[in-house]
Amino acid sequence: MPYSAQISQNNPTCFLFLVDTSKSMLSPLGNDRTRRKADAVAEAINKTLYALVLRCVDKQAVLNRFHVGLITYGRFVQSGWGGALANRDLVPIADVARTPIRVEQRSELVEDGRGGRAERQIRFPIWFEAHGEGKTPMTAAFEQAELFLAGFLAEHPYCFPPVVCNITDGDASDGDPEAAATRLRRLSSEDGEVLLFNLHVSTQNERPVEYPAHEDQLPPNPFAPKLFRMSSYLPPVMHQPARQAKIDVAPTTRGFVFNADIASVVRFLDIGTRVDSRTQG
Amino acid sequence: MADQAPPLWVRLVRVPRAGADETQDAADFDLDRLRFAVADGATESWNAGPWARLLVEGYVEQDDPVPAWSTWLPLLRDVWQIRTDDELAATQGKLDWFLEERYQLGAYATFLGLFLRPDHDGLGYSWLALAVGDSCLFQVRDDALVAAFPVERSADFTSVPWLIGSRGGDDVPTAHGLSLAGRLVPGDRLWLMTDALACWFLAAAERDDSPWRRLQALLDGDEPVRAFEEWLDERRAAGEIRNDDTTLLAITVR
Repeated sequence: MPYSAQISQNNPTCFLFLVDTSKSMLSPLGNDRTRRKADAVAEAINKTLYALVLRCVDKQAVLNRFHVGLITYGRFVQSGWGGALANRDLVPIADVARTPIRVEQRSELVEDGRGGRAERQIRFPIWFEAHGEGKTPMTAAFEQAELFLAGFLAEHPYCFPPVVCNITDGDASDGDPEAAATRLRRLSSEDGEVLLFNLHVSTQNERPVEYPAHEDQLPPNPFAPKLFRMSSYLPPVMHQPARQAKIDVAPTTRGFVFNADIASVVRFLDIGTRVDSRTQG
Repeated sequence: MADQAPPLWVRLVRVPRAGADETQDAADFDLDRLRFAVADGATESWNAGPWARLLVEGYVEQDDPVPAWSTWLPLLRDVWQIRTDDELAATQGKLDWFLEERYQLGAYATFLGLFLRPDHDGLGYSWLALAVGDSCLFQVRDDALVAAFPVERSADFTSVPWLIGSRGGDDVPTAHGLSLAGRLVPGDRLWLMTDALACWFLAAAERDDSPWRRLQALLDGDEPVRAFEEWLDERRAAGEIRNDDTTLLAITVR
C-alpha cells in the first residue's frame, strides 16, 4: 500500500514549503484586517518547523527523520532559509533545530490541569521572517522544487513520499503552473508519488473552503479550480488527523484550502505534515 | 474468594523495536488484586517510557474495580510534574530550546487496564477493561475470537491514537476512554498487546488465520521469550509487523 513507508533516520522523508513572497502578500488578510498575509504565513511556518523538530527529539538528540526545504518566490525564487542556514536547500531536521535565526521569549496561556489557565514562558525559535516583493513566479518555484526532490528521491528511493506545501495569495505570474505541478507530483519513491498540497490566503473576507473533494465546492474565483486540480488527494494516513481537526474526509478529498484564515493555515500545515506520528528510529 | 476461582496462567513478553535497547511500552499485573495493565509510551514525547510505567503501576495498585480516572490520574500527574521539574531545574537553564519544550509538553501514552472478578460460584470470572488509545485486548474461546477491544478491525489503527498526557488539563481519558466487560470460563485466553502486534493479530484473524494459535505455540514452548523474539524479528523483516516496541500479556483460565 502506498504512503505507508516507515520513517526513520535511515529512511527519512522530506517536507518542502513553497512560500509566495510577492508584494501582495504584504496586504492584510481578508478575515483579519489587523494582520498581513505574509505575517500570518511566517508565523504558521515557524510553528510548523517548531512542531516538526519536537516530533524528532529522542532523549537528548534530534533524529534526522525529516529533511526540510523552504523555497520563497517573489522578486526571486530562492532558498527561504535565513541566518546560518541561508541558501541551503534541504536541511536535516537536527540542523533546523539548532540553527534558527533567533529564539524569542514568549508567554503562552496553558491549561493548568486544574480547570484553570496559567501563563508559561516558552522559547520560540524564528527561522522565517515575513517579507514581500515582486510578482508570483509559482511555475519557477515548482521547477525548483522538482530539482530539490529529484535529488532527495535518488538518495532515498524507499522513503515516505516528500510532501510539498505551497502557500500563495494569487495566480502565477510566470505562465500556467499546472504542467510544472504535474511533473512535480509525478516524482515518486517506491512508496508513492510526491504529495503537493496548496493553500490560498485571501485579501477578501470570505469563508475558507477547506479540503474540498469536488470542484463544485469551490467559490467562483478564477484561481480556485486551477489550484484544486494541482493538489494531490489526501492519502489515507492523513485522513484521521484531518478528521480529528473536524474536517469531512472523502476518498477524493484534496490537500487544498481556499481563502484560508490564520487558523486554517496552521491546520493545513499540521495535517500536511502528519505522516506516521509513530515514526521509529 | 479468589482461592475458589479457576487458576490463572500469565505470561508477559516485551521486546523493544529493532535498533533500540529499551522499550517505551510498559506492562504490569498483580495476581492478588487481579489487575493487569499495558501502556504504550508515545515515542515523540519526553520520557514516555517512564510515564507508561507510572500509568500501569498506578492502575494495578487501585482497589476500586473500576476506578474513575479522576481518582487516580491527578496523583500520577503530580508525581510526574515533581520529577520533571526537578530534572529541569538540574539543567540550570542550559538546555536547547527543543529539549526544554519537550519537558514542558510532557509525556503521552496509550493505556489498557483489565480487572478480573471471580464468580461467586467459582466457575469463572467477569472481566472489565478500560482503554485510551490502541493498546488492545482480545478474548479467544474455543479457537474463536469472541472480543476485540478497543480496536475491532485492523484497518482502524491510525497513527494518531488517543493518548493520556502527563500534564492533564485535557479531558482525553473521560471523553475518549472506552470500557468493555465480558465473561471468562476455563479454557478462555485473554491477549493484551500493544498496537503493532495487535494490528497483525486482527489482520490475521480477519483472514481466518487464527493468530492466537501461533502466539500460543510460541508461549507454550521451552524458551517462550526467545521464541517470541525470533518470531517477531522474522515478521518485522518480512514487513508483516511494524518495527515498534511490542508487549504481549497472555492470561489463560485453567
